[in-house]
Amino acid sequence: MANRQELVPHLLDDIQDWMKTVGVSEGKTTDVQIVLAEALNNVIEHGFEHENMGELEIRIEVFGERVTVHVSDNGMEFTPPSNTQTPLKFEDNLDELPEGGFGWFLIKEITSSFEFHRKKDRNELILFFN
Amino acid sequence: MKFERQEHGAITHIKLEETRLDAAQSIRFKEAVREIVDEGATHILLDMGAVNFMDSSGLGALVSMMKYMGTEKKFELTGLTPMVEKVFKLTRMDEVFQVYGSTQEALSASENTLI
Repeated sequence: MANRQELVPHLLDDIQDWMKTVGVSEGKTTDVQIVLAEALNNVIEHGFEHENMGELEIRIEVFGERVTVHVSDNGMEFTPPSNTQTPLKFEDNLDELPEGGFGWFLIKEITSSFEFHRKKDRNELILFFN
Repeated sequence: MKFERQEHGAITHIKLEETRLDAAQSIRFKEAVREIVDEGATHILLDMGAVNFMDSSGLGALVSMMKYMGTEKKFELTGLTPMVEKVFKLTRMDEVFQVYGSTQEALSASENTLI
């Protein structure tokens, strides 16, 4: 997993191409791209923070415009934050603007729903795009 | 990190010549923009017309640059592609950043405030 973050763009490109070939609309494909980028970066940054080896499995099911994405990894256990409101507050001064924390917010906003399970030393994230 | 840079009066127009602004790019992006600011740019107009993919790290990098420039200097955006615009709207960052529909619009707006 050298240059680990470089992996994500390549995976996303492959997935985008595949979704096109099976006829998923551009809008839905973009939604999946945005969410999957956040989910994969999260796995790489947190799940495999101290690891050079890891196993990541992505499974995508398409039923017309309904897309379900399963992301499973054997990295460190993590729990999605329960508070996934926008980190942005309008009274924020420039200095206090958050530079992070938008990832889970995007996942929550774009998916219809998502589930998280910890099973047999694996993290399983299921993302629904209805 | 490739930029095409043009000076329009006080405005430094930088066109990001990358198709992605993501976790893999955000550190290099911040370093490159900081360098432009440190060289004396006081009003940056970042043209994102080539960027067809941005994630939350890319968004964070933009926020970081706006903070780096502080309240005395300006950091503005133009050329948001539909995907990037979507991320801005969802996170309400479109209300935080000054975003122009085109470079021309941004340059005219700046001229009007000078008059």
